Amino acid sequence: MTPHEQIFAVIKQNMQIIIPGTEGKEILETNSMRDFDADSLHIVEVVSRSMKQLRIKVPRARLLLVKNLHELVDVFEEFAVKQAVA
Amino acid sequence: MAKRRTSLVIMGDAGTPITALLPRLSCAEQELVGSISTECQRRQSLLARLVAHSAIRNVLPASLRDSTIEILKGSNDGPLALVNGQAGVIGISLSHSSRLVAAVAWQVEESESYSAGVDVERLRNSDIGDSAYAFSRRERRLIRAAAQVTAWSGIAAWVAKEAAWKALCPEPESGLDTVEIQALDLRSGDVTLKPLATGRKLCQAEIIRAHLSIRKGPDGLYILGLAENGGNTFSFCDAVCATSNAQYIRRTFDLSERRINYET
Repeated sequence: MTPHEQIFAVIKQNMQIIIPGTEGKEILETNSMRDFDADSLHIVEVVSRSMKQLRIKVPRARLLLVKNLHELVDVFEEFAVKQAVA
Repeated sequence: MAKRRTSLVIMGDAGTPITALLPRLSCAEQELVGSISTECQRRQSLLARLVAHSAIRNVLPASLRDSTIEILKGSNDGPLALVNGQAGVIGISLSHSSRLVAAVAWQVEESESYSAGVDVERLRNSDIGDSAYAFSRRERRLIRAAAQVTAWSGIAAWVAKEAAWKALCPEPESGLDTVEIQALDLRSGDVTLKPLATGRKLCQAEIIRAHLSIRKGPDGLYILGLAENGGNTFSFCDAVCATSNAQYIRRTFDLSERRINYET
């Protein structure tokens, strides 16, 4: 599994735990969490838990303009690389 | 000095078919609701608008009570209230969670800068209180201490921050670090927040006051948060505090006259 796929798998898993009705549903990178009726609290919980599990710290400002899961994974990956290099 | 008229309306979703409710919106509102991708969010958006109409009618002078009211989208992506096509007459803040919607409306006065924010969240298990992404270290300490009063201290803190953020009417790019909780008393429901960074420019005072209360909705319990930015001695947060333990289906709070109207 590539790092991108690993990150997406963690985020998907947390979505299925936290957002009601997502378990068993297909989740694509083109989706956003809002497509599954996630509210702001669900979204923050998914992001927060995923960051903790992946041991990645992403500044809040970088996440504010993310529009879908693909962009979210890209941002996570960017900071995972930065932390690995630092 | 005349009291500012402020109204909070809370409503549980009774399951009325959306087709029966849509005609109560204007064409522009129906278009906005129709553009939302999921049925659940379309429904919540529609109900929030209807509740907002109700709150706005409560604060309009008697001569304007039959006005055309619309809730459209403002330049900062937040709700914009139009009364007979005119903006800037009434301020509005909306929130929805699961099957509960809330709206707070207030008269906009040139002489005094004031805005309010409302947030509701359905109570559920959540570890949000431990989140370093959602809360600063100081806030997490306060939440841990407040957890001795209720297991829902994390969600309560979240609701207070969201309500305060809305009361600042910020740009959508600003985030959770616009405000920071300074005091969190879950026995009284009183929360004090301080604006940070970009929030300072938007804040009318050095602090933002918020009040939290537990409300019973159609599908369980909710936390309701109300915050105000600016204002003077009269505070709508005080009025809500007086009724925070009551159950309801739908309640309208005429906070400026401290009269509670029950509607079912």
